[in-house]
Amino acid sequence: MEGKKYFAFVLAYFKQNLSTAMEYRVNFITQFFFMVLNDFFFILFWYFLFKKIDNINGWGFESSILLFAFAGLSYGFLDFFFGNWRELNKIIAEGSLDFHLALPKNELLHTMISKSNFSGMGDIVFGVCLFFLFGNMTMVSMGVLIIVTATGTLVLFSTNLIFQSMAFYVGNAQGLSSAGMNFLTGFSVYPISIFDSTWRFIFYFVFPIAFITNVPVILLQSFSLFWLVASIFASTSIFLVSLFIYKKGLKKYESGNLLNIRV
Amino acid sequence: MKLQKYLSVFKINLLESLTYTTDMIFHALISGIYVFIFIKLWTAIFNQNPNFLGFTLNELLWYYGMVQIILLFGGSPVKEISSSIQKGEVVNSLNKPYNFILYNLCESLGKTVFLFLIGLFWVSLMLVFYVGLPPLDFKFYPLIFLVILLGVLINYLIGFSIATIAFWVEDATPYQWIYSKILFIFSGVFFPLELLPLFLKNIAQYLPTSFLLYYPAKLFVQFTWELFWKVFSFQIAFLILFYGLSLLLFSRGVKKVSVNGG
Repeated sequence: MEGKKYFAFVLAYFKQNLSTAMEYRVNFITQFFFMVLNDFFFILFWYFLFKKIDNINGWGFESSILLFAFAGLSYGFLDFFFGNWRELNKIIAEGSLDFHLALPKNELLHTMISKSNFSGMGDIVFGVCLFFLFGNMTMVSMGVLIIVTATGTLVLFSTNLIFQSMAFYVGNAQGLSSAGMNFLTGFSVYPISIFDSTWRFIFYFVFPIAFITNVPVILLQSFSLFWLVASIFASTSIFLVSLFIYKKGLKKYESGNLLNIRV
Repeated sequence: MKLQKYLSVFKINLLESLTYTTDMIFHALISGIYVFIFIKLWTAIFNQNPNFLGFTLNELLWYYGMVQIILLFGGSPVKEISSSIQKGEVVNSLNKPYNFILYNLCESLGKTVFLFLIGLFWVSLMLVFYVGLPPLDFKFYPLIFLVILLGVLINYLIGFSIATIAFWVEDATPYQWIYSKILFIFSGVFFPLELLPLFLKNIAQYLPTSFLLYYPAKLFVQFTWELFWKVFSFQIAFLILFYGLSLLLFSRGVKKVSVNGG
């Protein structure tokens, strides 16, 4: 029952954000178009590189492109549907969380969905196109794709939430959050095979960044039940850890005494 | 005396920037993340293909490190200048006794010079740890600094020219965006120009964009006097060209500004 209510709540916000996007149609199309082109320029690097070499420690052109496709889907999804996911540190530092805390719905979910970045749709569409071009898609792989995109997105959201929640503890965490975001982006769009065992351990067990893009690519190219279960386990674990850190931090939250008028 | 005021602008902005040391450390840290990833990526590639693109691993990583360090210096003025034009704030500078371009340039250099030094220290430390000292003899360092500085100035002036488009169109951001994409492919920011297909490389090596990052970084790892003189002379030519263009566009643009008082 509660789940149904939340679903309706998220849907209502989605409709609201979509109508905003349609109101500023030119802006939406421009951001969408620029993001697609932006992503295209990034994959040119892999194209030029793999014209000169066959693989990097076993990772070829298609696998590297699929890494980017998964990253595009996860970032795009969070940007479009949970637009404040990169802004939480600022919201905490400015004391703007008050508005959401005073309302009956879950304040974290409410904060996240109350904004939409239209450029995220460009990432999503570009990612989907890459899958159809390079992913050898079948009905089975479509199912795998949906599951591992969900787990990868959850890992991305959760690891980022840990960095963002540092604002509860240190006040202004803009630099730290930005470094965290670059850490996530940087490490998730490169093959894990380039890192040595210590770093791989960190990326599988400490900050499970490997599950954002690398494991999904492995699963998409050759399915294994082990990696699927590991993905679900890793994403659930890091999500619970991030919620714990967030909730602990929330107790330290100090109201900004800020008056907000939401139009 | 004339230059004294610009030096003061530089100094004031440098001192002001020191207030945000923590921010700058994080900024340099982010550069370090990408340098680290590239150390791992190129090490894996060189293990399979020694002497890839005509570089040794040490040369290629110092090339990339140098690019990251240069990126921290100067920056692009497009956002700031075009917003000042859009909002009409530019009129406040028109009756002041300074050259608008040089004033903003010194402001930009002052704001970023400390960040540049932090980046230089941090990135160099990482590279010395992973691949050893850079290949270049110490006595050539002043020449490298000269070509880096010229590249930073050209980049600023190109950015300034783009920003002045705001006098004619409402928003100069799309033009800056197109320029940033050209930089992405043709400046050597992500990879040396040797990685490009031959026909693109032939075009890229004479574009002004390759004199901002690629050539200064390449000189740092594969210095020859012949290359130095080529780079230096092209940079001087581009500097004059883009300074002239900035002056021309700005002087034409300000004629379109109407002051309403108030």
